[in-house]
Amino acid sequence: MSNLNETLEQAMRIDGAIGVALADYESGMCLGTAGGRAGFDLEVAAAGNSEVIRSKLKVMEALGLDDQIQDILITLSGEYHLMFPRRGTSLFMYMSFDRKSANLAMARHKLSELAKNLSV
Amino acid sequence: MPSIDSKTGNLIVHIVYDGCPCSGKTETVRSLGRLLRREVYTPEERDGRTLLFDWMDYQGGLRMGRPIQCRVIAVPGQVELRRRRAAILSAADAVVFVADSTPAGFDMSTTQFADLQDLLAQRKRAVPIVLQLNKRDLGDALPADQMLASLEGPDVRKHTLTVATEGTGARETFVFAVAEALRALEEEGQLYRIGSNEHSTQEVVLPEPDMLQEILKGYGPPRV
Repeated sequence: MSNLNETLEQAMRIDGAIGVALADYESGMCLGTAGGRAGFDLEVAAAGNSEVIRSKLKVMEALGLDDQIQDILITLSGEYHLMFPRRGTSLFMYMSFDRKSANLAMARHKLSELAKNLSV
Repeated sequence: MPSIDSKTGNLIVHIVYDGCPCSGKTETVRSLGRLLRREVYTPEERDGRTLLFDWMDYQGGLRMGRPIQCRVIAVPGQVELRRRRAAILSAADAVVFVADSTPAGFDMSTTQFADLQDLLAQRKRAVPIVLQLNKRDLGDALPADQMLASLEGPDVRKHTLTVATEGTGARETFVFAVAEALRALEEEGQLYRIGSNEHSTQEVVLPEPDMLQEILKGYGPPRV
């Protein structure tokens, strides 16, 4: 059985966390979400960002890069958006942080650990 | 076959839930409906058994810039309704096979799974299958490895462990099935073909009531 909800709750305890989703980048559909704020639909955000991951994978394929995406960081003026694909699957964790209160290095480290240990 | 809704531009994908009677197909779709806050339409049932199908529409996710509209359909599992089941399976882009984990239910599940393989073999293209090992909360549930060894097939892509009555694993199974459907369609070049505007108008899907009639055309009233 999955430990999905527990993992999402742990992710929301990272400093600066706004919202988190576990999604599939083939379809853009979410397996679960936590947090969020008014006007920020995590399911829509995860769906849109699944296109970012697929685009990057296509570019890597075109370049002949035999490698894997470790994470993708998008920096907005007020937020960080992080994406962590899970190796061997088409799942990824998507998370947004408030730049004022987040420690980016720590957030990347913790989210990476959570994504690695998630069993779905 | 996947298609584009000519009105909304949505990519339409059909996910069909198959399995032996009482394996938990209807319960899974209803749990999914509760999790996704969608209504499940069951046109006819008797003594808790599905006679026609269970149907749910869900829009979520994105592919090639198009919202994905999933038509989730559970077949009737009874042997005497096989023709109806076959008609619904003929529209599947991916199949979720709901296997009963109890010893008695699993015997029926293996028979139904073999029949599913026969029905899908008649299709021109490979249809991915996600195995949903259900009723994992019961004390006499068979070991998953033992079940998987008996439910092998070239198009089996993934498996999940579920308790449909509680909704555990229902959403994961559904998302995996949609992902496998899209992956299979991409491998065949189908997504690119229907994603282009040039072809999309040729792939118009009938409005839902008409489609239901199409599915049931020629199959007459339910035999019970």
